[in-house]
Amino acid sequence: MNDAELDELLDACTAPGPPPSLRRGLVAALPVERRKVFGIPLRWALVVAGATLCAAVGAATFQTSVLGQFYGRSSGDGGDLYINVTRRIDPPVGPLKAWSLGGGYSIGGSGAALSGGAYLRDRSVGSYCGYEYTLEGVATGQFRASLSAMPLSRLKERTAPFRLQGQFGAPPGLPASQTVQVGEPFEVTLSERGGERIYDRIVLSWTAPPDSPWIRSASAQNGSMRLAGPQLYIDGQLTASQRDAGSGPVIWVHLPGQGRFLVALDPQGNPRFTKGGHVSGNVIEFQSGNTQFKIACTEQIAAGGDRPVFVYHQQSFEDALDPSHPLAGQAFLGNAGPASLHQE
Amino acid sequence: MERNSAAILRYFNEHHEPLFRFAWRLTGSVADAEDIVQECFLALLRPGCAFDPNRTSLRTYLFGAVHNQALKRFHRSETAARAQDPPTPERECYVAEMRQIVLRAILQLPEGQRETLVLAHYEQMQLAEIAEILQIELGAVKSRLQRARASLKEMLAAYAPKPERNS
Repeated sequence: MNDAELDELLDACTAPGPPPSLRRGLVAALPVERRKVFGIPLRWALVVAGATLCAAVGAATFQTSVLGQFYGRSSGDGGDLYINVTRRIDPPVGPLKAWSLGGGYSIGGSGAALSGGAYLRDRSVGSYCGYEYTLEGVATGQFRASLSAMPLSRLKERTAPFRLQGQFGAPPGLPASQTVQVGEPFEVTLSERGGERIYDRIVLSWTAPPDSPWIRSASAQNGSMRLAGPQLYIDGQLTASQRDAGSGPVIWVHLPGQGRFLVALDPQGNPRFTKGGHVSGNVIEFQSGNTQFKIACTEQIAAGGDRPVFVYHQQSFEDALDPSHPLAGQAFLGNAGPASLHQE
Repeated sequence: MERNSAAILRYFNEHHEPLFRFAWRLTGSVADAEDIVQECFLALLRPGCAFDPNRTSLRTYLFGAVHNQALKRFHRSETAARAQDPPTPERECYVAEMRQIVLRAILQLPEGQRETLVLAHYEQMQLAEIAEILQIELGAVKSRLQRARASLKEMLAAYAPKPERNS
């Protein structure tokens, strides 16, 4: 046999293409970053934001100045440092206005420094802006906060897999650097116009904030569901599995090309949600159209025993996804805050 | 170089197909190849990951990572092809697919020769890059490749294209 004949034989050994499960497995195994984005797969931060807003929703007139609540923790040689961020609006607004003000927050850290970023999306005017920060310890209980406008490239990463729709700008008057004390709040303004101000109030502490997930179990909240290690079955077939899909009063399933299916224990009177199944222990089962959904988790999903769930098929969700993002073509799960119960 | 989940997915999109082919040809198993490739991308996120973009390209590093992962598996348990008994002629006829015959022959090569052949023939890599991936000298790459091809010619001799005879 000569070399050409061997090459010809070797060429007969074509390799199979990578199976779709390769990408799905990688996506499921990737760590969920510490960030909270309204409407995207999240962890505990959204639960707490939800808890805050649930109280307001239950009131006779829903007016709130709190748009979201975020917590982070950094462990270092000097012990744990907690960061508590409250996104606020003054004066208070109603539910639709609150829903129109989405955004996200990321909290990370390495060594002695905490770093992260935050952005605001105002759906009513179609605008985005954000900032990034670094907190470095300069003395016991004292940190230097360095702030800068979030670049568009970073914003695109943070909003993925959703497409950016609107104008991009910088927050007004960011202070370049300031010294902050543990226990003393400082504020960063994201938007200020027409007498309305949206800002983040940030507090550092050496102990876990009272309402943080380290103190209060998310699943203990009556209206909340938690998806720990969820496995999604569509018509009996395992379709997706994730390490975590966070928690909140609304959880949802995205199916490629079909939009998303929102599931709530209490739809707050929204007629788009109809009774479609039940949650019991570690399993939620529901039906929408001719499709059977089952989500099996590693922990209890909701407090109490067998409870009905209400489902809303939101086809328009597909338009919000960036089609070039890998998740857009996959089934995946997420959660949303109570403001999503008030959307059209 | 960014090392977060979004960046890993971008690197995955760019590199996973040739890495999967390489892993499959080393192991002969889709499931093993899938695990190996997945592990290589996840390893990029781990503290202490050895990848240094100033020293080598991401592609070279990832091929090297697949090579290391495949070696680990190989040493943990013999690959299926090696553990099997030699195929009988009847079975060969039954399988009757050249693709499987060639794959089986490749899997019977010593691992060093197998890796070198796959990278050179199927991934069309330069010998210098293969040397970097496998962490061996250029001369060793050449000799492994020659030995691999010589062994394959022997193993596949019965399947060589036969010249047509005029009677």
